Amino acid sequence: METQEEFSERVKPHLDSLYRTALRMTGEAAAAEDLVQETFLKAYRGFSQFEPGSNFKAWMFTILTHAYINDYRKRSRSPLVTDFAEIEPEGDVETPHFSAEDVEKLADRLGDQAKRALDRLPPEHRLVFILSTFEDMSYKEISAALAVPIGTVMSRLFRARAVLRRELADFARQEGFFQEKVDR
Amino acid sequence: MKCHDANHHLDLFMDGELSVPENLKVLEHLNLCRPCAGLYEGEKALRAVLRDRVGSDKAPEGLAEKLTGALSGAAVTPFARRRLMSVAAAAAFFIVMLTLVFTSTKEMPQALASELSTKHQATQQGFCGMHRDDCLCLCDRCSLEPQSAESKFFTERVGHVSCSHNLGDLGYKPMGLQVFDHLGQPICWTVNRDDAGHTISHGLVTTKIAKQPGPLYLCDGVDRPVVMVPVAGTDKTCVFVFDSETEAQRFRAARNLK
Repeated sequence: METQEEFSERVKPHLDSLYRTALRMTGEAAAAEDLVQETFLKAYRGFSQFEPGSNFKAWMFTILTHAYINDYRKRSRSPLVTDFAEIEPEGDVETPHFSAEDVEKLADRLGDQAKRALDRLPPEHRLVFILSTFEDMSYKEISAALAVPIGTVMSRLFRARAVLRRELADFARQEGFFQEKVDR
Repeated sequence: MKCHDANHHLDLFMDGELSVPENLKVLEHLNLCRPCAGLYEGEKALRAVLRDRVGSDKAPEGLAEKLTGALSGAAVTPFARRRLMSVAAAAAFFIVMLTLVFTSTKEMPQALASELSTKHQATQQGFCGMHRDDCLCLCDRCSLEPQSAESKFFTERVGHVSCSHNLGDLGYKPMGLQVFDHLGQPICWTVNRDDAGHTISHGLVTTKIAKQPGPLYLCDGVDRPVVMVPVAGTDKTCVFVFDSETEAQRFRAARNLK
């Protein structure tokens, strides 16, 4: 067993990552701190199960996502049910792409549009998107953290990205600068 | 590699998920094809902006110290235990209640219905933390007999036959049951638990729903291994959701499923 100080030092470099993921998943700072604290305590108690040499950050995220899915999410009033109808059909949907110039214009006017678009994603999709795009976890690591098959990770991730692209394209169109570039 | 393939692989390429030869092929294509390179640059810029605007929050000052402090003192009740206790309390309540109700077995459905209508809301909240008015909760009512009073009760009450499986051979006892509407289809969802706290949830859904892509987004079935067992001669599929792959394998082995 590591000492408490050693364990804290080990977690410290990942604290920002854990916190911002918790923040995007819970939607408020206090709940995010609670979730990070719960993750931290669970990780400390369960540290003997961590395999030395394996990815510590991925292990911490496994605990965080378990804590979120099993505890936080179920205690919150919002139902964890996502109707199948909400899931978009594959194919035949617009997949807009931004050129680098469009993205520059987008960045200038974005405000908190992107944050809100992300927050509107179903939690399961949002989580996969965050872990992949912001935390650089591999599909395999995400698959292990969420205990879902890699295929599920991929379908959630691609759907999340498609929805975000579409929402940002809608915004860009409203702002009047988006050059249509629909393909794939 | 053609543009179509390159685009198709772009996400995987950017996520670092391609094999070395595939990776090389995409790189090669991006070097040769201006439109695809443009897409790639756009996507790269978009990711950078999102990361910068959305994915760069920092933990609040003092959080690290607070966490270290929490290690050395603070008796924090883990949420899991709290939840388990609320489930256990709800279960215990119903077992006591049903024991009382079922002493006069002939009146069971009516007695059950009246108890249910007054108490099911509390059970739901203890059960999975979500409120649904179209949800009925029961405990310890799984039965293999189609003519059992419980099955009849459900048929009368919600027009739907309950999904009942005896999982006693695996050490599981029935814990509770809900019937709710999902995409216009009544789904009967049953939860079994063993002494170690592992759960198996199972529900009877139309095969059409069961074959929808993605996992079942049901209250107790999120992000867990799923085994589907078609019910011969019907358009129904029984969906089993397990705590872990080990539990799923144990079930498959016991039922001779692939």
